[in-house]
Formats: sequence, structure tokens, C-alpha cells
Amino acid sequence: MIDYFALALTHALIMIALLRVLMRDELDREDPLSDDVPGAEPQAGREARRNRRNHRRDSDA
Amino acid sequence: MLDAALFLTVMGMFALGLKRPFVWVLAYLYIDILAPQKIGWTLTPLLPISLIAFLLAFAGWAVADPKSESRFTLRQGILLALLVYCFMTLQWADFPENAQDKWDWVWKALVFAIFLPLTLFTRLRIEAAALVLVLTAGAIVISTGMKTALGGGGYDSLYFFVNDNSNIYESSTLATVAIALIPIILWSARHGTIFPPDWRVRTFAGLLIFACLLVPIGTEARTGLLCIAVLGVMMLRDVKNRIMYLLAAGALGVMALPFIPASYYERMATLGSVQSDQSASTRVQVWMWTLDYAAENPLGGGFDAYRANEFTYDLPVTRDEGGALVTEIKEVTDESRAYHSSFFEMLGEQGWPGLILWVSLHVLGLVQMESIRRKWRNRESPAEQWQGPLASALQFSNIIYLVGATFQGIAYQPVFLMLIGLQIALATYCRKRESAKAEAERKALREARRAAASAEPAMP
Repeated sequence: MIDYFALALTHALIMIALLRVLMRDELDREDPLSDDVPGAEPQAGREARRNRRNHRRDSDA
Repeated sequence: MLDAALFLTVMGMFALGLKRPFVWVLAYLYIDILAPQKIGWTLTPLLPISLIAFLLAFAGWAVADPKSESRFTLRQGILLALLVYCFMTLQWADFPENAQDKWDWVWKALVFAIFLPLTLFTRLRIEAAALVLVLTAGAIVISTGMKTALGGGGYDSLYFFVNDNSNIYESSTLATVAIALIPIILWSARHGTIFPPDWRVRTFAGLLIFACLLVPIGTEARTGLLCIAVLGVMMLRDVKNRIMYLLAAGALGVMALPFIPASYYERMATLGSVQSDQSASTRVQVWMWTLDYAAENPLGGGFDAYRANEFTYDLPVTRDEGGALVTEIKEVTDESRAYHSSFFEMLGEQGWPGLILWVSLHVLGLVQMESIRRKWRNRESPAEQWQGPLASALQFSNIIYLVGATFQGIAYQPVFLMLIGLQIALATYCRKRESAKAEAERKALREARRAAASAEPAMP
């Protein structure tokens, strides 16, 4: 039972990882001068909203 | 059911490789660590999947990858020299048949370690390789950790997916691997982009690390305990809040106590008393024998040369006689005792040249990782934050491996050779990025000068 659980969990994660990797162009090509974090997802939820708000306030000032 | 699932996973990986051939490299990492062909019983052993993945990985690189991105480095040269030297000692091996058996997997592990860095030329590839390595070994670690937690641990009584002591399905080796993976798990959880850090990733990483720490307890591998201690001390270097770290480490230790099987204390108690423990006392004898052997055969005796040894010594044996413990001195003869140390394994099998190559491979790695860690520590660009910590993690893993290797014959352990491959890939990646930057700066300077020169005549 434990064996099945351990195998199922890690295999699911490996397959998700492979599918995610597959979708990304920077797997095979990368600009050595780029300063961007490849594949960094935009900030989610509350943090992004807060940042946007702060940004707006800064630009209003 | 399990057999079919594993078979489908492997076939799925092979199919995904048609779109991105790099997946075949990851498939080989997966197959070589987990050995699904040994877990399954009908479908997976049907095809030589390990060989197929090995060939596909090479073919994918040869056909699809830009060769201009690949560099052949000094450490790959050392690995190649070691491979050639192992082949030479195979020719004059003391035990040709046993040597051939070992050579059959050693050459593959060495060739793959030389090849792996050639394919890992982007950040995502390095990360994907580290992640697949962690998750695949994680399958074995999680099952071992859970069995330990639920009371199924114990030396010789713990069952893995595969029970033939091969590869990392050997309890002491698994314990060393599990502890060596902890720094890589931490790095993946902090700097990963495939699974970006969030509460789910942190929770999984935390539990996986806990499972890793339970492996030396469940397998009752004494070396594992030493590895935990070394890792604990080393991590003091990089943690921000040392007091919190010490408190957390203490709490984790207390949490682990209920999971420790009673036989563990008995086995660990023998750590201090070398005399009455057969495994430990023959170890010292084998090391002495190997030194003598190397004096006579400085070029090495080929794989499995230890089979020639034989020791007779007196050992105190305690037995229970009607409630009273009686200790007697008994003469014990041991034959063909394994090296129980990678340093002596290299010395006995590959002689001084092999030992020097092997030690320099690791020492150079430690130095190289340290230099990357220092150089990239204070970088500000968001794309330059992961290299230093990864160098640090790979360095820690390497040190843990060397601690484990001092007491186990794991000189050619494929998982650690893969970590060497990752180190080489990281060093090459960093060097490439630096030279590209320097080149860009030079170009910008040249252009600025040219612009200034062409602007001058226009000035009145």
C-alpha cells in the first residue's frame, strides 16, 4: 500500500513536471544575457494586487 | 496494474521525447535510479528499457541539440581517463568474471556522467534534471520513510521496491543518497520554476526531507547518522537565522524519536565499540590488507580484487546461558570481505592512478562549487540568483557523499555520478554566461568608442 502511494505520488509529479517542461521554449534555447527569470510566473492573487496598488500610488504621487 | 502503470510511464516518456528529445535524458535518469524494469514483472522487463533510453538520449542530443552549446571540460576529461583506466585494469583483473559483471554497469554510469553535462546547457534543463533525480529517488525515500514511520523499519527487515541490493536499493547507499538529496530538495523548493515555490511545494519539500532523515533510521545505516550530523553542521554556513535553525533541528530530532525501532539503539551503540562488531573490525582489517595489496599491485587488481582477502581473528562473542551473559573469545575467519570504503575500493581495484583520478574529480568539484558560490553570491540580476545556491547545494551533496563513501564502496554509484554531471553542467553554464556578458560589455564599449569617434568631426 505504502509502495503504491509513494510510486503514484512521485510519478504524478514527474509526469506533471515533464509536461510543464515540454511547453517551455527555454528548455532548448536561452539568451545568456537575459536578466529575466525564465518561466517565472506572474505574481498570484493578493500579492500581485498589492503590488499593482502600490505601483499606482507611486505613479499618482 | 502496477506493472502496466510503470510500463505506460516509460512509454509515455519515450513518446514525449519525440516532441522534445531532451525528455529522453530525463527518462534515462528516471530508469537508471528507479529501475522500473525490476519492479514490474511482465511488461516492463519485456524490453531493455534502460538500454533504449540510453541510446535515445544520445541520439536525441546528436540529432537535435546545438553542439556549439556543449563544452568538454577538465572534469569530463578526468571521468574519461577513469573510464579508460578501468577498462585497462579489466584486462589484468584478478577475478575476470566478477570484474566483467561490475564493468557492465560501471562503464554506463561513467559514460552517462560524461555525457549528461553536454545536454544540460539551459537553466531549465539543469533544473529539470535535478527535479527528476529528486522525485525518482524520492519514490524510494518516501516509501522507506513511511514504512519507518509506521514501524516497519529495521536492518534486513525493511523491504524496498527491489530487494537485490543493486544500485540505491542497498540500505546504507540509500541512506547516504537520501541525506545527500536534502540540499538539492531545498534548492528546488526555493529556486524552482517548474514547480514555483508556494505552500504546496514547501509542504511537499518539508515532508520529503523528513522522509530522507528517516531513511538512515529505518535502514539502521550507521553511516547515514554521520551524514546527517555533517549536513547539520554544514548548513549552519548558509542559514540566515542560526538560532531558529538550531531550534528547528532539535525539534525535528525529537519528532523523529518515536519512529526509531528498538533495534536501532543496539546497532548504533556499536558505533563506539569497534572491537566487538564484525562489520566494523573487518573493515579496518580490509583497509590494511588493501594498503598491502596496493604496495604489491600499484596499478590495481581490477574490479572486485577484494575477493582475494581472508582474515582470521579473535572476536568476543556474548551469548545468553540460563539468564547469565557469557562472553567468549572465538576465532572467526572471514573471506572476500568487500572494501567498505570507496577510497580503498579505488585503491585496490584501480591502484594509485585510479585513486588519484577519483579523488581529484571530487576535490576539483568541491573547489569549483565553492568558487561559483562566492562569485555569484552578491549578484543582483533576478536571473542570477539560483546559481550560487545550487553550487552550494551540490557541494554539500558531494561532501555528504564523500563522508558516506569513506565507509562504503560506492565509488561508481550512478546517482552521485549524475550529481557530478550536474556540477559540471552548472560550472559550464556559469562560465558561458560570464563570457557572454564580458563579450557584450566589450562590444558595447567598442561601439561607444566608435560612436564617439564618428561624432567628433561634427563638433565645431
